[in-house]
Amino acid sequence: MSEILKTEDLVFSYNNGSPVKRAAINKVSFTLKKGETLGIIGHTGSGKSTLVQTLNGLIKPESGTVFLDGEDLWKNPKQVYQKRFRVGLVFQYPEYQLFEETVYKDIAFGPKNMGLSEEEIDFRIKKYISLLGLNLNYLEKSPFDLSGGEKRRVALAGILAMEPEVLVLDEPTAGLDPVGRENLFKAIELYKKERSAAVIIVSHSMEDLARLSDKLLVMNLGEAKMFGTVEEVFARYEELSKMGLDVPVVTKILLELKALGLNVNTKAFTPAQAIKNIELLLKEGDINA
Amino acid sequence: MQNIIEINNLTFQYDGDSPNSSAAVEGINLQIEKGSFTVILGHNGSGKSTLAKLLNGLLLPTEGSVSVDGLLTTDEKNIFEIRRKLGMVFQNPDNQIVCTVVEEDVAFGPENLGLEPSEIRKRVDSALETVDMTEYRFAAPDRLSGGQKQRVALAGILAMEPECIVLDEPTAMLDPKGRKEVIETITRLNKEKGITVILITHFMEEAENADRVIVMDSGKITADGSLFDVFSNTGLIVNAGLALPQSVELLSVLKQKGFNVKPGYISPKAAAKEIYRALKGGTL
Repeated sequence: MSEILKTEDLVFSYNNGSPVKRAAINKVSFTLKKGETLGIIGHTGSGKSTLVQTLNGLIKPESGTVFLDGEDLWKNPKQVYQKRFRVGLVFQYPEYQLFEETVYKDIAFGPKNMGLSEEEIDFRIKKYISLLGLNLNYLEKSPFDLSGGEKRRVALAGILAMEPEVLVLDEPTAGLDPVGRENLFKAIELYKKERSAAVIIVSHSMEDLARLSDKLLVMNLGEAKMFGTVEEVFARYEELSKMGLDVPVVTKILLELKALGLNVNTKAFTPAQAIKNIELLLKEGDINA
Repeated sequence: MQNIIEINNLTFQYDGDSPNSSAAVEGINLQIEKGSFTVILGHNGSGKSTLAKLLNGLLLPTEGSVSVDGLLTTDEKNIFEIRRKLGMVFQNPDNQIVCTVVEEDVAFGPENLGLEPSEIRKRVDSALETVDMTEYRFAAPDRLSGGQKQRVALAGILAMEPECIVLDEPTAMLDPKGRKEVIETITRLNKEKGITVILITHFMEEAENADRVIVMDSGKITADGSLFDVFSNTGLIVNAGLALPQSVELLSVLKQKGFNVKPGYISPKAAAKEIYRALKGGTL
């Protein structure tokens, strides 16, 4: 599959030109193909949120380039606005950005700005509210009468209705309970499959990222410290732990088993993989290292 | 042991609810022992936050009764004393901070108790010390991280010298570091100061330090027991709309596959020991 998004040596500092200048991201490079999911890991303050805002041109990098479908995002600064529709950015707590009288109007806001026809907008609103598991009779409700989880789904529907080729989500499940979290992830997977979209998820949950991502990008102090497959990144657990980051719980369990003296393969990042490794240990007979 | 909270046959229905809609909290009987650490788990809408608000009289029972240290919440003249004895910390730290300087915010509660200035000073200093925020006593709350803000909110409660603290999803909006800070602080308050803690959450991992775990679903208590017992019943956890901690999930699949393990271990270390025991024990 072809590369849809690519960054090269992105640099951005806050308070540039003042004595309190602080580099938020420094020489960050990664690539993302159509249909791939990239997980971004890093502490609060590591530059994750700044990075995602450069991807649709909300922030113009000081140096370095964002390529969208092979083309420099800032090649013609007047056209950045048009390109923004192609990279949908869902902020943390997007429900705080709902503002319209009805759910219908709120979801319509983005597609309207794209200049789509009324019919097309209507079609997309109904399609994406359903994809997010909300009944059509929600459309005439005020978004402010909904529960927190419902509001979040409406906010996400508003982004999906623009049918972005790259969907970027900053901590999409913060504050949701396990059922709400599962539903949200299911909707994202459905969208991704149907549109062959690329997805970027910023999250603190290593367990969720291990399950959803193809690749991981590890940010620390504004720099991209690691970029690779889930397996490649989580295999470097010692470095991750030095940065104060975790590996999935099941990986920790296998590492503990190894420390207890068992000859177990610690390369497992989901429960299913871990079980396979534990069973393998028994088949091989000699469980001691 | 003496009980700090006594709940008898408690039912609560929100005003707007039609008469035939189900109650937010239904027929709950519950006693909480003084000095204990209880975790209440439940998905959104399970009634756990409603229960919290019933504990200090923010909501009053539709049926049944709630008493704190022998004081009924339905008697209006008890409310002030109940809220001094039982402090609450909520999810969003930004909604709980009212002053522009950290120590002023912590002083807000004790000032309302009408204490002597010297006593207020003493309590504010000691509360900030307890939550490890003394360094930030002159800081503006809006410059603090989420975890720090929650600790300031906690200090504000501590300065009232409560006997019991109820925390309603205090870590839901925090990053892992902030979450750890808050949970460690709460655990310390319980173990060292003997304050009764009721922690409401849907992060199962946070139940690790609890003496007792209660699961709520559809306004009712569906499980009540030790951490180990409750988490051993994995079916019940999943039916209550909760996600198993990954350690418990791993152990329960191993058990299904015939391994002689019990699933009720949350920390990776404890789970690994349990697997090790089963593998070494030759009882497979």
